[in-house]
Amino acid sequence: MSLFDLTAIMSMVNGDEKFIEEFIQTFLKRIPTALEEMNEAWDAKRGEDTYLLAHKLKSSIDLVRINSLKDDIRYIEKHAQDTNKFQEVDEKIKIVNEVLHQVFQEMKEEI
Amino acid sequence: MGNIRIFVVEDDLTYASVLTYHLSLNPDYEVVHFTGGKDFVANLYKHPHIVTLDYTLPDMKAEEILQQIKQYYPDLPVIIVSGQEDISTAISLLKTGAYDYIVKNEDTHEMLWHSIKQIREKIALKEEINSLRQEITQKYDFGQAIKGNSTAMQKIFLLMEKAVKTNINVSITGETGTGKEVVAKAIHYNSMRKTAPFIAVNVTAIPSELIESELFGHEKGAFTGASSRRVGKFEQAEKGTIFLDEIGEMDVSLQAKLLRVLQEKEVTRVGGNESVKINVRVICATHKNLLEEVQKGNFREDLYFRLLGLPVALPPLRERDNDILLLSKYFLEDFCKENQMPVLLFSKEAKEKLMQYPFPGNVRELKAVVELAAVMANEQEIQAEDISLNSVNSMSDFLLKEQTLKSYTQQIIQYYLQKYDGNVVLVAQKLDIGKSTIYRMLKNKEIEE
Repeated sequence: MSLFDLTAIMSMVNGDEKFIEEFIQTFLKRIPTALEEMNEAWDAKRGEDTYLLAHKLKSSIDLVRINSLKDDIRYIEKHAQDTNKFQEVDEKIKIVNEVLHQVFQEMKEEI
Repeated sequence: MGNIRIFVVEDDLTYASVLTYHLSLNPDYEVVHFTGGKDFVANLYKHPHIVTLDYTLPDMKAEEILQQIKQYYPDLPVIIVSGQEDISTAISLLKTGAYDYIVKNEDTHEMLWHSIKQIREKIALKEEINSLRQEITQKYDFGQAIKGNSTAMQKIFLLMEKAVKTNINVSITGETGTGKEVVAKAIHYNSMRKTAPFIAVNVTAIPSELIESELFGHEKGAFTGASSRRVGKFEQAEKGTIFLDEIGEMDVSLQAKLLRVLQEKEVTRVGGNESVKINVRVICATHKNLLEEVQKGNFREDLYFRLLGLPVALPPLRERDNDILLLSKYFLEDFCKENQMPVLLFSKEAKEKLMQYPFPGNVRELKAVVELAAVMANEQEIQAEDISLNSVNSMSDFLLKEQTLKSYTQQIIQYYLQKYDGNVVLVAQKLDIGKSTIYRMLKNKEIEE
């Protein structure tokens, strides 16, 4: 079963397959970079930047309906600046990385 | 309405691409995407109709962008599209002037579509209002609204030109039907206040117990029946003009309140304590001689001088020379056009009949007379007999024929002889003249039995 679902976007663009292909390419170009930036911010203990990058990733994750990450990305966004939640956020970041890399792989296979 | 230019400000390219594509599905929308706040602000001069603004941008805060937009285009609708689900953020942005706040989720595109549709409807409504306002302004262009080539009217036009250039109060006097309200409207719609309301109040048309609340408004519970707060005519006319017709009929106690409003430039609603500042031009009108009313003690002298401003005394129609024919032609053409009738003309006799009549009801009466004549006419030319003039003025009509005294005398005696069945003795008694005078006129066939 696929980790993402493009039906919402399909309906928004009236099923334009050419657009979907371009969209996936944009996604594959932008999101890995954004993910890497979030990882770097987290490693450097820059809580506010981590929060901002998680916030940005959230809308893209929601857009392609990666439902398994819906709660995790929100958790990171909410607690990235809370030192008491370091362990939990760190765990969630690992999960997000793992799932997103699988999504990237699936998308590459699809186009 | 032409194309709607929508600026989408969104740094997330994946999200922006879907949003831009979705909005572009409507051929009426011209969608332009900006990835950053600074780039967007630099292009603000291109004047978009709608902006969708991402709350979290890397180079500028949404609040700061919103402020800059409002500084240049206070009415430009801005829809915040945000991943931020915090309600306090939404409220704060809406208070700053955002039109709508939409959270990024699966329904965003539908909510955005709906929000833009609402904005379009508002823009269309605004354009319609502006167009109507433009139409009214044209309608009240001096040449359009008031017809007249007479010397008397040329003087009025000069006064009106002076009135439109300043905010001075204007007092219009003139007989009934001379066009006092038309002049007031023409002054307003040609003045700097033309985009603000023109509110007309006929002082005599409102019951005395209601006039104060009508003019100044009232608070909830101010009196029985005041179930909610109501804004008065003065507040409704803010930045515009209030036209107080038949000011001479205003109750003395209300005159004191009106004077205070004019002096302080503020109103206090009935039942309220709070004063509301007003910026309203006052044009008043009356058919009475206000100075005489002041002398009689019926009108406050201080209010008279406060209202007097630029006095405009409208001439009665009978003093407007050939304006009667000019107006008759105008009313006739207008009536025929409105009723999809072939164009009618006045015969020479019909014109003479119109020119001889004093029109005590002035322009209003002339309009009614012309319209009735147009209905009564059986051919393309309106005849004298098609023109029905008010019988109460038949004596004035009779005198305006400008005949000799001998001719008038003959007509009077003839009228009485017919009335009293040829009884010469009775007629002589009634008219206090000698019987021999009547017999002589009969003999000379100056009159008939």
